[in-house]
Amino acid sequence: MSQPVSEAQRPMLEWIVGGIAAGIVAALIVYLGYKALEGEPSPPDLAAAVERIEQVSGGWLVRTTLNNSGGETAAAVLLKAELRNGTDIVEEREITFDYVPANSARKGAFLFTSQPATAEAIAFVVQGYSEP
Amino acid sequence: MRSMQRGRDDAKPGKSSDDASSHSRVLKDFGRAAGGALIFSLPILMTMEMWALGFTIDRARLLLLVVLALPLLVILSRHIGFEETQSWRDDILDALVALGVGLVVSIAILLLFKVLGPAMSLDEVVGKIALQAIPASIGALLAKSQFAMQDDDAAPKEDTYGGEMFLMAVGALFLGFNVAPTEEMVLISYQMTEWHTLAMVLLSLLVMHGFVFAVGFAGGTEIGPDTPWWSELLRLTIPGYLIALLISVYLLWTFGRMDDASLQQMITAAVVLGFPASVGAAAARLIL
Repeated sequence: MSQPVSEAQRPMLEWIVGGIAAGIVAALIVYLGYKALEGEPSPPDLAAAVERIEQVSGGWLVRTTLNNSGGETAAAVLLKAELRNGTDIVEEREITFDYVPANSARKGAFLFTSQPATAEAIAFVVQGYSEP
Repeated sequence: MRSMQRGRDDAKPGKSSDDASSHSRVLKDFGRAAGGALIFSLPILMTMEMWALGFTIDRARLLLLVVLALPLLVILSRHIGFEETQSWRDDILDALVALGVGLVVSIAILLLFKVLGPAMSLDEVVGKIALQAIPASIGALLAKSQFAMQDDDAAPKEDTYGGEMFLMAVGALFLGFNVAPTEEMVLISYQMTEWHTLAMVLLSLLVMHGFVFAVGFAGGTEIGPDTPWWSELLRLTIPGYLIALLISVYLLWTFGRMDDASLQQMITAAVVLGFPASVGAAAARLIL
């Protein structure tokens, strides 16, 4: 292949590969263009939920998922968990999530010394976030 | 041992010079490989995300990466090895040597940085070494043939279409691997809007096509004066960009950056990593 070849001489395979790749890249561009024209994304919408409670040597581990259903990413999200007994707050814990991307979830865990009676005994408060 | 050697040398002077030159050649080869491993993997050896990934990376994904690395090295040796007539056995040997050099260099440097220590679990130590050894061994293999070009008179290998695609994949993997583990990849994707992402796709394509064009003229073989501009774009640039994107997705998934992410986050992160990967892919055709 050291001579320039005319277009018709090029192997069919190259055109097929090129055509498929062009289709996928075009789909990507159309998708991004559509998303871009959709307008301003919604702000971060954060909600925490208990995933599982387990006993560890330091006390009780409450595995938690923080879900962001908004269209923007939240950074440095400070999440507080309150362990309640009726209306009394027994223990409070805080953790920071570095990033909770748009429409994504991140996981963490709180450590309590007393046993949570049920998952409902834990109340979450999202304190705030910064923009990445 | 030395006196024995000398005695034999004295007896057969002709043979001794052969021995000496083959010894120094082996030494040179290992030196080149170690140098290449260093050049290509030092940035990543000094990246703290890579140390953390050593114990956080999903073991199945790490295993897959290691399993894929060996055939990659063999095929790479096949494509850029200095002798056209090299046999598969030589290629496998070259790949294993590169892997060995990559391992030794990684272990030595990680020990030097005290990233490896006696208090660590075997699992952590193995994870850290395995992860670093892969880019280091690719570097070892690339350098071994790259640096050897000067004393090589053999005609350059014919480039097949599949070979070009493979070289682009290696280039994408190479530059991509150096930045993929860093937190910046996802951080940049969080900062960008869709407009930024779109602009990045177009810029990546433009840069790649620039390289494709430059190589076409440098080699003077592929692009004829009557070749329309869209021919190279469709046959090389766009498939090359897709390869860069796929490699990016694979690397991000391996390093756990795709976990619990939405489709849009995955696409944006892939486009961000796809930018250096596409530059690597396009440059590989020029350099390798």
